Amino acid sequence: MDEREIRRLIRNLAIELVLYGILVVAYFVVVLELLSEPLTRLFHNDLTLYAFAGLGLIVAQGVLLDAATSFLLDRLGLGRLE
Amino acid sequence: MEFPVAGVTVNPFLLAGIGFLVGVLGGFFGVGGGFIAGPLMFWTGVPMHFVVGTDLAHMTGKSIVAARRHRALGHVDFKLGLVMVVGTILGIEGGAQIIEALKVLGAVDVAIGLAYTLILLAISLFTAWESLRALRMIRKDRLAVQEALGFEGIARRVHSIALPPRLSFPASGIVSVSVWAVLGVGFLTGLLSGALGVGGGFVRMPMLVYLLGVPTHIAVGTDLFEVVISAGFGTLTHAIKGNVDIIMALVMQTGAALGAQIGATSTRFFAGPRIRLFFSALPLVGAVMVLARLLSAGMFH
Repeated sequence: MDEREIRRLIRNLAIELVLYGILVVAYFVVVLELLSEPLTRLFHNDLTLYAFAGLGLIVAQGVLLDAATSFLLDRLGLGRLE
Repeated sequence: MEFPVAGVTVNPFLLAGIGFLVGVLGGFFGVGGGFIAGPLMFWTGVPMHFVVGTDLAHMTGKSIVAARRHRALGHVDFKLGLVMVVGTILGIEGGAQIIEALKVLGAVDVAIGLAYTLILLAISLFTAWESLRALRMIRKDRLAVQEALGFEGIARRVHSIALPPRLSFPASGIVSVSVWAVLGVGFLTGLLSGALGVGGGFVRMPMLVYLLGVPTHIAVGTDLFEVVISAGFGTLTHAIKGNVDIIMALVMQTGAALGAQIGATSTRFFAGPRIRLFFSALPLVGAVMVLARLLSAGMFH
């Protein structure tokens, strides 16, 4: 890999970090703020339901984030490095 | 940001940053990264029992993605994974019960912190020793021969254990092995997983290779399959016991997803035992962080 390609790789990586950072901030503000209260209530009232809901959220977010990061990496040409 | 379930206030970007760092290291070194995430979370002030449960929850989501990719490559021995998972689940429950007993005694932070420190030190020393040995072997141009002779011997002795019932695992090239050996590997790593909140991959993967004689690439894929099940079960059992802050795990996962992709991509530019030598410093950093936190909180008085 020559110097120009490395510079392009670093630039694209920086763009991805900025785009992803914006998405994450929006996610913190909208989704997690909304989820916080009902999940806390569930934690205090029904731990079993809280456990299954939590596992479901973790699995769903894992699949969604994988799709989002793969899409971003691919659009910026970073996915082709794998 | 306040995390009312764990009862702490932590900057969410710091948590996402920890997830990102662990994701990069996990993607780069091929480990779950719980042994680094745990000390870092403890360092930010999260109580140890929430560190254990929440780390398992964040690891579950991260490992699902990696295991799916390995399955597509044909690197997962499902039969071996499913037999081993019985031992793993028993071990996780045993580990979670240990946490509960320590909570009652009020010694959970000190006991788990010290166990964490000792295991991290052991991993660091073993990895440094193994990578230095490998580097010496490469210089002498006889690494492959030495590894084959040394580890085949151990696996052969494990395969010769005569305790019935015995099973074959063709996908891993194992003709016949006692079920108890497979369950034993699962139980030990499950115990670590349940008590320390780690996936156990950094112990299970070498055990699969050195003790059971599983080829390395199959061991990595099967290990990730195990981590999904063990960390998923660990999340459930710890959440039911009130040890998981799901919001905190979701925040960490945002950073981990990106970090894992970047870490995996970076492996293309680095390779070999020198990476394992760099890696050996990481558990040492984790051990120092846990000890520093225990000392600063005055937990030895």
